[in-house]
Amino acid sequence: MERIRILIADDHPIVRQGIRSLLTQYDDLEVVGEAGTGPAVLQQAARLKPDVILLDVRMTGANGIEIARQLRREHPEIRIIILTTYDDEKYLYGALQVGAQAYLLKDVSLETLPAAIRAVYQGERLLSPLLVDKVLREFQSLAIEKLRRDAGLSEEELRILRAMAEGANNKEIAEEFFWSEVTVKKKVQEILVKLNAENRTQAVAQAIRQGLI
Amino acid sequence: MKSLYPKIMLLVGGAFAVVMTAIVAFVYVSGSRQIEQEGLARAETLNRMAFEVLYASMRQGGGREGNRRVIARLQETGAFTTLRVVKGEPVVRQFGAEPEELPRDALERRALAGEEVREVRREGGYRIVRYVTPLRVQVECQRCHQAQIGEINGVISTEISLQAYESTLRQRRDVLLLTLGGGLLILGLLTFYALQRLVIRPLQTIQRGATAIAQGALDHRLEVRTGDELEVLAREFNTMAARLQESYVVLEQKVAERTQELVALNQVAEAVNRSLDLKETLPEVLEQVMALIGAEAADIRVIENGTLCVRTSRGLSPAFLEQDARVPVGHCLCGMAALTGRAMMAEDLHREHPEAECCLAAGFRSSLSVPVVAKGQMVGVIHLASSQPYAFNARQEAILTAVGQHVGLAIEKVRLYEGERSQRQVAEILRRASQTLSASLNLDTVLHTLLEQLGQVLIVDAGLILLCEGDHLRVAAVRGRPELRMERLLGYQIPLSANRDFYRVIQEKRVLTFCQPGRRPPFADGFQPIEEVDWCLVVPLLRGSEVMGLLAVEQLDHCYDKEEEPQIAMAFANHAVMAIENARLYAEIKTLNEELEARVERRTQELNEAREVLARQAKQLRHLLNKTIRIQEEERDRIAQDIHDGISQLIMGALYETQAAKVSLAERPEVARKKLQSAQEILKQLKTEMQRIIYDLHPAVLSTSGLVPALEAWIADYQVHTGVSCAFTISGSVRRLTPERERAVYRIVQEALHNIAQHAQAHQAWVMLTFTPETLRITIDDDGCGFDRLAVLNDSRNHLGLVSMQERAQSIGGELEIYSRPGYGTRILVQVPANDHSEGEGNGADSDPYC
Repeated sequence: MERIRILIADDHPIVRQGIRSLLTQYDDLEVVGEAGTGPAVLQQAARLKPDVILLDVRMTGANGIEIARQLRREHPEIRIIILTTYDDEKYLYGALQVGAQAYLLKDVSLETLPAAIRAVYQGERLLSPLLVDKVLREFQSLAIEKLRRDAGLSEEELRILRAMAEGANNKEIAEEFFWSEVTVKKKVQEILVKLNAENRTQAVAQAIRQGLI
Repeated sequence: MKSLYPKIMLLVGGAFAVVMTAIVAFVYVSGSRQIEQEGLARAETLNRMAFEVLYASMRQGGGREGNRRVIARLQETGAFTTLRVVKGEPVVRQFGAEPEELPRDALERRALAGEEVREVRREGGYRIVRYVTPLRVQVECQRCHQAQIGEINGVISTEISLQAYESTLRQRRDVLLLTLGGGLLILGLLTFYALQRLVIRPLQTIQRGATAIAQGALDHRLEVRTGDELEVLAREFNTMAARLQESYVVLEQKVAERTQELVALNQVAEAVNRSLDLKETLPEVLEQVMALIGAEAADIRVIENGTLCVRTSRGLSPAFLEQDARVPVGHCLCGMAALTGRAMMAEDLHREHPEAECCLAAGFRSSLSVPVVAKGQMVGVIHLASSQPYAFNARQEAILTAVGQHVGLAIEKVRLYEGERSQRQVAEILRRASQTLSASLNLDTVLHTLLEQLGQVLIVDAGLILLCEGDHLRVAAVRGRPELRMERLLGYQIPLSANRDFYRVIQEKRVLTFCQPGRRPPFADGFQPIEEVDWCLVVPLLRGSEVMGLLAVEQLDHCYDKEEEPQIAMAFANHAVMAIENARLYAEIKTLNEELEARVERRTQELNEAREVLARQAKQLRHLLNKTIRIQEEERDRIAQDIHDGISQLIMGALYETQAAKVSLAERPEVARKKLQSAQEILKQLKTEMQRIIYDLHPAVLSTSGLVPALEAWIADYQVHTGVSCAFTISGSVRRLTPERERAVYRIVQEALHNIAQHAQAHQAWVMLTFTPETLRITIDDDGCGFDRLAVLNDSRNHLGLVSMQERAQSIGGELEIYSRPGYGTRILVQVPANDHSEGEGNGADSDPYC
């Protein structure tokens, strides 16, 4: 039986020892090495060619995301699991962007860690359930942004559309945006043209249908 | 003016017209009444005639035809406009008469009732009379009617026009009126003519004569030959005019004389008013007087000190003037006039005044002297003389007296003017002197100017102002004729005792005038710019009773004898006193000002220094605060980092171990136990780590055991961590301080030792606590490199540690001193109050933001 070879990269020896101590309980998992610093990680990865690297985002003298990026470039075949105590969005999106296979929080993945390693090894991608909401919200805003661009609407026009959907008339919109009513009228007209709508109701319906609002 | 003639004419004409109108009106009215009465009488007669004729016919029983014939015949006479007979009613009924013969109108009906009716009406200005007379049956005629005799059986109606008759009468009346009017008119005109000829014309002649005389034609005579009272009146008038003509000539002559006199007097007055210079006016007056009176010689004399002095003259020989130039009042005629105030006229000097030798010698026979009076005082005499006796009369005397009054006024005016002018001049000079006072505060300048101005009022040869200075007089200002070279005297000091006159003035404190021709000037011996003076005036400069100096003026060759000079000099002396006073006050104020300014400057400098110190302290405090905040932030970061690096990783490690134990628990219990063992160890480490962090945050030992144990513990740790050896010694009896003070001392020692470890490059440090009853003294020494204490303390940026130590010491009422020198290590000495009483001395823990 082939065992999954694992490299643990964490700058805290006690954490490394803890992880190793846990993983050695499983026969299909083999901890082939440990690294405490960024350069050590790259070096060990090149030497040991592990299947999976458990990578802490904060390492002494290096940024985990940056290491992950280099690892992806130099060893695209190595699966990377970001294992961290931080649920910081910056790290999360950075990790997803560089193409890490999983982003797990240390404290919540104690029991699921072996299964996660196996899944990643099988080619799946994982995310701690607590982080899913964040990612989805990000995705939603990205999606709406994309729709907006596709419809050729500006962010301002989108805001006007939202106000229209809430039933605001031109005067109320003008007051909200500190414009004159004439300006509002002109902008509404442009929105109607862009959405290919005959009137306000139709425009709002169209926007809802397209998921813009 | 309305003339009398038309008035008379109007009166007579009016009366005549009234009479004429009355006569004509009377004639007219009586004529008209007569015409009317005659007309009516004639109509009555005609009517009666017609009635009688008809009656006669009826009585004869002429029947209707007869009646008709009668009527026709009556109508043929032309006297009646209409004539008809109207039958009565019974007849009509009986005979069936024609309707037109029935009674027609109201008159006829009234007549049928038995009334005789007459009606007069006018037509075209003439009357028409209508009669309606009842006809009574005269004859019984059964054929014709059944009426009884006497019954009315009809009426006869006649209408008679009086035109022809009355017009004739009126023509006659009009002719009569015209004749009468014309006669009366001619009579009136004749009356007018007579009136005009006999009364009006002579009256007009007289009136014209009166007018002519009134207009000045005194030679006008009247020609009236009426032979009545008017002629007498004209004659009287002519006599009066002749008399008037005579008296007028005399009057005119007198007026001419008076006019001449008045003109002369007026010219005198004018001459007197024209000029204020008597030298100009008096000769002119004299000329006028001579032209008016016609004297051969004349002069005007003015009283000066009881003597009459000739001021101007005409026609007098030099010999006379020489002899008579000064005449005492009361002497000779002129002197008497001046004495008594009355005019003295001598008609014949030879006879009346043989004592008037001078005039007689000059060949004068008559003379006239009138006094010149001003405000009731004799001021002089006007004197006229002639070689003819009886040359002057009372009129001339009166005129000359009037001239004398004018001249008196002129002299008075000139005197007043001169007095006023000199006073004004003095006032002006004094005013300028006042201006000088306010213009400058330089005493010498003011005094010099004062002297100069005094010289303009008081014509003197030399003047000087001396100021008392101790027992000397210093010459402060001089002025004098150039050749005297008075300026040499400036600054010269004269001992008070050296000059008797000056000393006297100073002692007596009053003005002294010395008039002593050939006198030596009042200066010190050995310094004599002026050889001798005639007149000297010395005025003390008095402020209250203090003599501040002297003002002296001198005259070389004559004396002033009036009272004005001392007064003027005193006025200037007062100004000089004021100037001296001003200068003194000014000097005092200046000194005061300077002192004040110096004080202000000193204060300002002190304030500036204090402000700089404050600014530096504020800057240090600001840096301290910034650093404190930074330290706090760093501290928090460090704690967070500590927790992350130490605590949370340890927890993580323990968690993984327990998970491993959990996983292996069932199958490999011994492995699990080993894992749990590891976890326990990690947890122990965790506890130690936690304790370390907490201790760092707050040394619990400080509050529980006190300052000494806490420092012992910390220093032990410090030595381990820094490698700097530190000796900790204590003397005196150890006791607890207030928590604030203990904490402050603890932090000060910490900071000091931190600094030694970081900056001093020291190997050995010594910390010593000395407890005394009142204070706790802390000494921290090291064997490090030391530093330039002043430079470091003044550089507020880098050594906040030192400043914050100082702040901490001050906050608990203590003091902190730093002793250091490059190469010689550093000593920090802290002294804090150790008893509870001195708690209040410091600012207390409340105001310590760093504790």
